[in-house]
Amino acid sequence: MSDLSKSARDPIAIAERMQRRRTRIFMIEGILFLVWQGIFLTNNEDPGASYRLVDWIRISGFMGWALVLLFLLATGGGFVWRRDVRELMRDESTRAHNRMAQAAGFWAAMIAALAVYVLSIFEPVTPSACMHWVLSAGIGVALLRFAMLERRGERG
Amino acid sequence: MADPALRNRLKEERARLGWTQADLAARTGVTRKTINTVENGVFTPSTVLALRLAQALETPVETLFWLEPGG
Repeated sequence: MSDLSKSARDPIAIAERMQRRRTRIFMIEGILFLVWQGIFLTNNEDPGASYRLVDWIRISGFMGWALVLLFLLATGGGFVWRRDVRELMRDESTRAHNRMAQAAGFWAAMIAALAVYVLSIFEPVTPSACMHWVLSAGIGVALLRFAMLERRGERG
Repeated sequence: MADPALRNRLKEERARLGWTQADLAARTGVTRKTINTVENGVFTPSTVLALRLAQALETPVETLFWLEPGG
């Protein structure tokens, strides 16, 4: 193999390693996010109660976590790497997987919103709990779908 | 009517030149995962990528990719 080909392979090797790492992170984060929100939502909130400091910390933590995951979903991450590596990390199949994952997340969020709507007929649901359901379903499903598509692509 | 399925002979053309998926990936500026998914028909490449693959393999694009009616 020519030297040109060897040198051209270098950023590809890095990008492939980073893609595999990203797949693992997204899979773990997706599972953790959904499991954590499940625990969070089993603690029924009193719709009339005011927020305590611990509630503010919990809600801020959730919002921060959700924002970080949304940002990773939108950008693909890898900002510590050179531009050529970052572009390879978001090559054509990855972008297609990202679009499919975002579509899956959208439908999961819509189904969660409908479920909460129905639930609200039978018992009071706080606005923050509604948002929690919708965000958790949308982000969690998108992360897991992306990780599954990427893993399938890596395995062939 | 079912959409026609996109078929390819990427693997055969790659084998003809004695290249691995990584070799072709390096020559087309994508990762091995993209080559793998195109080869297996999991992913439909864009026109740009299809042309780049054909150029790298020195094969006309219509020899590399074709539509099979009925999926």
